[in-house]
Amino acid sequence: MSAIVANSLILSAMLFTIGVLGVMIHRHPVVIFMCIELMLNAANLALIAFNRHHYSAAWPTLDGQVYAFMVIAIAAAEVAVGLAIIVSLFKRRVRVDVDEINLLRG
Amino acid sequence: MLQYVWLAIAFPLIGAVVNGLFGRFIKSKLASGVIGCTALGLSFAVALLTWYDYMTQAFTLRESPFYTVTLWPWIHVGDMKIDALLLVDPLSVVMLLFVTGVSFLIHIYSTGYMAHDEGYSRFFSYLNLFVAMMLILCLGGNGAVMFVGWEGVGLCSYLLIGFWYKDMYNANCGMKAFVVNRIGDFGVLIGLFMIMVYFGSLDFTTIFSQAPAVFAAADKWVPLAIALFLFLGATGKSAQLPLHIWLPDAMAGPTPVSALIHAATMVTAGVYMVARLNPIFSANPTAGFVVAVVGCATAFMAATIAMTQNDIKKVLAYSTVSQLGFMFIACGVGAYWVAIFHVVTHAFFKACLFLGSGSVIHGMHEEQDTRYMGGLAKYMKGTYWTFVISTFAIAGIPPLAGFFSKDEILWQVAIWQTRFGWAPSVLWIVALLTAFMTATYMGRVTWKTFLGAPRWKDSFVAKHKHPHESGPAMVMPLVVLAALAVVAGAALFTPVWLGGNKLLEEFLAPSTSIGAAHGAEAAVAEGAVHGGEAVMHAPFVTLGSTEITEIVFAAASVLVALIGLFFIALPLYTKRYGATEALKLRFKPLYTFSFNKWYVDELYHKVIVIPGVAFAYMCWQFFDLRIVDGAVNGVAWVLGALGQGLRPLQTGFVRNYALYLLLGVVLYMLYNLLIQG
Amino acid sequence: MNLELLGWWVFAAVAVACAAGMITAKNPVHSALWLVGNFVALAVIYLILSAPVLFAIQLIVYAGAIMVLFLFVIMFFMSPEARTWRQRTLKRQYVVGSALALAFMVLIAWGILRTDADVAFSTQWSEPPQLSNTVTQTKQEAGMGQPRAIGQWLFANDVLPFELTSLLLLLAILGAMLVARDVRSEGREKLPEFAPHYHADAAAGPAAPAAGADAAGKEVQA
Repeated sequence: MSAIVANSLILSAMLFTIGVLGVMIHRHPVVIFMCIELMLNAANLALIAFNRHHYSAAWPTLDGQVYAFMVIAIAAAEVAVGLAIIVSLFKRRVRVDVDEINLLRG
Repeated sequence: MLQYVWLAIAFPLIGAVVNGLFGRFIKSKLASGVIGCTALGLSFAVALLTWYDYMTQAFTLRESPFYTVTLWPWIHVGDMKIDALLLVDPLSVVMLLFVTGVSFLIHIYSTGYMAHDEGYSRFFSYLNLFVAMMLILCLGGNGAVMFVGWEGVGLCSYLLIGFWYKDMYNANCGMKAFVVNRIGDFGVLIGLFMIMVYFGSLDFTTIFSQAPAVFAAADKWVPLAIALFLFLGATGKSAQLPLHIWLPDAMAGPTPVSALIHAATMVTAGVYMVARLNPIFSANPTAGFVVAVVGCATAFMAATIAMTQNDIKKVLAYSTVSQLGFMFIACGVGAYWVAIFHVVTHAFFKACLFLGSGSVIHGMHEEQDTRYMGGLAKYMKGTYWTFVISTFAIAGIPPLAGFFSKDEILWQVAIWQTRFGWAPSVLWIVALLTAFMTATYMGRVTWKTFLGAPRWKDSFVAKHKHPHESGPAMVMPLVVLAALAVVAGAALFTPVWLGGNKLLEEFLAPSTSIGAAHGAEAAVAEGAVHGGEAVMHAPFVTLGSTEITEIVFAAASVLVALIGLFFIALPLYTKRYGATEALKLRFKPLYTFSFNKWYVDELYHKVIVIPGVAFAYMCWQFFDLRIVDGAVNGVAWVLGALGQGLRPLQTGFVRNYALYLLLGVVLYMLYNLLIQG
Repeated sequence: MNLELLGWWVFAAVAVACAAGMITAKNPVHSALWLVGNFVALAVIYLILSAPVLFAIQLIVYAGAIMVLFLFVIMFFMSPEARTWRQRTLKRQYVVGSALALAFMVLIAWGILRTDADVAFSTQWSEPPQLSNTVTQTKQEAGMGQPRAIGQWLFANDVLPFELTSLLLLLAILGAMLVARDVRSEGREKLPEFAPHYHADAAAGPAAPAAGADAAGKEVQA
C-alpha cells in the first residue's frame, strides 16, 4: 500500500472520529446533521483511496469513485429531506433540541 | 369354555358400568339389583363351566396343568414383555368357584339388606366392580395382572367401606384401609420388581419352571428377600401383624361388604398370593418360618382382643384376622393346599356369620352392641340356627367344615420340618390356645346375642316391641352358606384316620406342591433327617404311632372347642349373665389391654403418625416455602434486579444512544483486531 | 517527498483543522463555514488521489449546493446567539465520548498500520501515479478518474444504480416539498378537508345538495 493511500485512510478515520465526536456533543439537530455530512465525506475519502490502491492497468477499476459519486448524490437527497423536517419543526415553534426527545426514558 | 374364562370377569365389569353410569336413571331398585345379581350369576355359571371343562380335560392337561389365555399384548418395552394373561390351573379354578359362588349369594342378600338405602345402584356397581377385580387377581397369569386386581380390590374396599361417605367417620375408615393397604402394596411391588430382575419375566408358569435354577444361581438371601417383601403386601391385604389395623375399622361399611370383602374374598388375596408363589416361599426355610410365626402371633393377638369386644361386627372382624393367621401358619409350614382349604371353608362359615350378624342388626333396627341384645332366638329362627351352625363350624366341631380345615392346619404344624426345632411345638400350643379362644369368643357372641333374657333398649322396645326375622332374600343365602359350612369340609378332605378323602389335596397339588421337591432338597441341604416328598414326617411328640398321635391331637382340639363353647361361654352369657363383670375387675389390666386392642393404634399414632406429620410440616415450612419457593422467587428477583440495574442505560437521550453505538463499534473492532488476528 | 505528497500533507492538515473548528464553533454559521473549508480541502485531496471528476463534483454539489442549503436554514431560522453546545447537560458524555472516539481512532490507525508499518510516514512512492494530461487518448488509455473513464464506467457497469439515484433525487424533491410545506397558506378551496364550514356557507343560497354537488365537483377537479 502506498503512503498516500495509507495516509488517506488514516485521515478518513480521523475525520470520521471528529464527526462522531460532534454528533455526541452537539444538541442542535442542524449541527449534528453537519457532523453527519462530515462522516459521509470521510467515507468517501476512504472509497477513493481504495480505488486508487486497487487500480492497475490490468484491471482499471473505477468502482470506488463511482460509489463515491452515488454517495454524494444520496447525501444531497438526504440533506434536502432532513432540512425540510427541521424547517417544519422551526415553523411550529417547537424547541429544537435533541435532548427534548426523551420520552423513552426508562 | 376355558378360553372364555375372561367372561367371568367381563360380566361383573359390565354390571358395574351399567349400574355405575346409568344407576341414577334406573328408577326401579329391583332393576339395579337384578342387573347386579344377574351379572354375578352369569359369572358363577362361567366358573362352573370352566371347572367342568378343566376337569374333563384334566387328562390331556396332565402334562401341563397350566392353561393360559392371552387376552392382548400389554407392555412390550425392549426385552420386557408383559401380556394381559389369564391362568387357569387348579388353584385359580378353586378361587374362581368359591369367589363367584359366595359373591352371588351375598349379592342376593344385599337386595334385601340395602333395600332402604338410596345409594342402591351405586352399591351394586361397586360390588360388581369388586368381584371383577378379585377375579382379575385370582385368574391373573402373571404378577402384573395380579397386581392390577390387587390394587383394584383395594380401591373397591375403600369405596365400599366409605359407602356412607356423608359421615366423616366412615370416610376416615375407608381412608385408613386404603393407606394401610398401600404400605403393603409397596412390599408387593418390590417383590415383583425383584422377580422381574431375577426371572426376567413375571409369568407364573415361568416362575414355576425356573425357580430352582434361578435360586440355585442367585445368592441365598434372594428368595428370602422376595418372599418377605411379598409377605409384607400379604400382611397389608390380609390384615396380619403389623398391618392388621384397618380391618376392624372397616366394619364401618355395610354388612354385606364386611361379609364379602373382609371375610370371604379380599382378605384371602394375601393367602392366595403366597400359595400362588409357593416356589419362592419354599426356597428359603426362613421365609416360611417368618410367615408362620407372624401368622401365629396375629392369630393369638386377634383372638385375645375378640374376647372382650362388644360390637358384634368387631368380634367377627377380629375373628377373621385370627383365622387368616391360621391360614398363614399353614402357608408358613409349607402346607399351601391346607391354607386354601381353610380359605374355602372360612369363606362359607364366616360369610354366613357376617350375613347373620347383618340380619340381627337389621332385626334390631341398627343396634350392633351385643350388650343390648339377647333372647333373639325366639324371634329370628332362621338367623339363629344358621348362626349357631356357623359358630360350631368355626370352633371346629366335627363333622362341620371348620374341624377338617383347622385340624389339618394344626397337624401340619405338628409335623413341620424346620431347623428351628422348638418352632413346631410352640406354634402348636399357641394355635391350640387360639382355637380354644376362638370357640370361647364365638360362643360368647352367639349366646349373648340369641340366648338368655332380652336386654333390649327401652327405646327399641317402645318402638318395635321385638325384633323380626329378615326377609327371604336375606335368609336364603344364610341357609345355603350354612349348608355349605356343614358339608364342604368332609367333601373336600378328611384325614387318614377318618377315611382319607384327599380330593382337594390332589386337585391342588399341581399348583401348590411345586416347591415341595425343592423344599425337600433344601431341607436335606440344611441337614434335616427326612428327604423326598410325600413322606409322612414325624410330629414333635409321638404317642405310640403317628396315626394315634394325629387322633389324639384332633381330640384335643375338639375338646378345647367344646369346653370353650359350652362350659365357659354358655353359662357365662345365659344363666349367669353379669358374672363377667367381676372377672373384668379381677383381671383389669388384661381386660383393658385386650379391650383397647393391645394399644396398637395408639402406638402407631405416637411412633409413625405424629413424626410423619411433623416431618411433612417441616418439609412444607423449610423445603417448600423457603427453598423451592425461594429459588423460584429468587430467579424472579434476579431478573428484576437485572432489569433495575440496567435501567440507567435507558436515558432517553439520543446522544447517549449514539455513544452506545460507538461503544459497540469499538468493542467489535477490538474483537476483530485482537482475537481474530 | 515530492509535490503530490507535500500537497497532500498540507491539505490533510487543513481538512483536520477545519473539521476541528467545525465542531468546536459556538456559532452555527461559523460551523457551516468551517465545514465548507473542510470540503474544499477534501476536494483537493481527491484530485491528488487521481479523481478529478470527483474533485469537481465535490466542490459543485457538496460545498456549493449542500452547504448553501444548510446556510439558508441556519440563517433563516436560527438565532445567532443560539448556543449549540456546552450547555451543561450530560457532562459525562463529553469525557466518555472523547475517550471512545480516541479509542476508535487508535484502533483504526493500528489496524491500518500494522500491515505496512513503515509506509505511513514514508516519502517514497511505491507505484507511479496515473495522472494524465489533456492529450486525447483512446478509450482504453482514457486514464484513471478522467471524465471519459468515469462516464464509460457509469453507463456501462453501473447504469442501474445511476437510474435509481435519479429516481431517488426525484423522490427527495417531492419529499422535501411535502414535508416543509405550510398547509395554512395554500388556500382553503384546494383542501376541502380543512374547511368544511366553507362549503356549508357557499351552499346556503341555492338548493343545498345541488350546490354541495357543484362544490364537490369543483373540489374534485381542482
